[in-house]
Amino acid sequence: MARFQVYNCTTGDDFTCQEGQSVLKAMEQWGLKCVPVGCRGGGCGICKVRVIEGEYRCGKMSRVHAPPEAIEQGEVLACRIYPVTDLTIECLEPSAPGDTSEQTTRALR
Amino acid sequence: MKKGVMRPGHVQIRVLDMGEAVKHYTELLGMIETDRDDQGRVYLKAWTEVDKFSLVLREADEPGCDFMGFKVVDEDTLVQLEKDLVAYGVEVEQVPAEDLKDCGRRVRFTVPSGHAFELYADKKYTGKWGVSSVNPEAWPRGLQGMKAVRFDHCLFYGPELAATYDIFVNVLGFHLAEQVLDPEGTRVAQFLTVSMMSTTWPSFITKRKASSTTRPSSWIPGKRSSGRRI
Repeated sequence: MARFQVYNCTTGDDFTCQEGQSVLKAMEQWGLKCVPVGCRGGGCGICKVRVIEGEYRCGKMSRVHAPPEAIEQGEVLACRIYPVTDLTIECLEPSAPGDTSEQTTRALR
Repeated sequence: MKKGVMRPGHVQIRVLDMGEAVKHYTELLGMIETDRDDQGRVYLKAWTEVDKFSLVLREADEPGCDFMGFKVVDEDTLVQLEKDLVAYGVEVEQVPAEDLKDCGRRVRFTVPSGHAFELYADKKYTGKWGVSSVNPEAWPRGLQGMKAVRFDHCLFYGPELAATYDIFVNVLGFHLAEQVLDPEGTRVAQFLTVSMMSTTWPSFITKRKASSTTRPSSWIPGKRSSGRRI
């Protein structure tokens, strides 16, 4: 089975990813934490990275967190990309946190 | 006070890939596919549930929850609760019968947390899956994965806990089973339920918005998120 090297140039970590395995899953199997882990299902946008170099296949990703124009720029979710060559990635801020305005709800006794 | 809302009846969830999602809910959670419709939606239930479905999956390019529905005692109750919601100032939307296959008319409304809920009175009765209604065995054969027993609750993240509480408690007859307070005494999570039975626990949870928008964070049939008991 083919193996590819993934290099995270933000943190300096690198790890091996097997053919058909997502970058995030490979990272977790190596015990690394260089990309934040969320839903692992292409839904939450937490594991967003930019691929600087290399080729990969994409699985389905939430359009909100990975719109087509971002995917074209290599901004993708690490849980849904499958390398077909060695990759160099960099970390990005997770996309679109919601409104975090304070609550004034009081306890009910 | 009881107002005739019986239990969580269904939830419609948006999934990115229908094939993968159906495998997840059937092979891992152990739910049973009961139907599909011409919109491509897939209907599932857990084996102890007597109505036709409790989970509806819809393929979309953004995952999330479309709505959660509660079953009410009968049509008269539905009419009354609809009036009560309107009188309280809640906008309601009519969803005709058969919009969901084999489900009667639904009354849909959005609460201040931003989530959509529905009430309905009728859904096709199909009985428990895999056991006969005459001289039944205690347990069906052929269940897969976790063998989920029922759709029990949803966990939602959103703002406006107090206003959301008011609708569920004052209009729909829910009560507060548990709450989570921060060190200043501010309520950051509320667990609402309609059940009086000790074996059936919170069916609906609203939480303060953390870092997410209004997507449901998790949904596990038959289990509470706290893992304390079923």
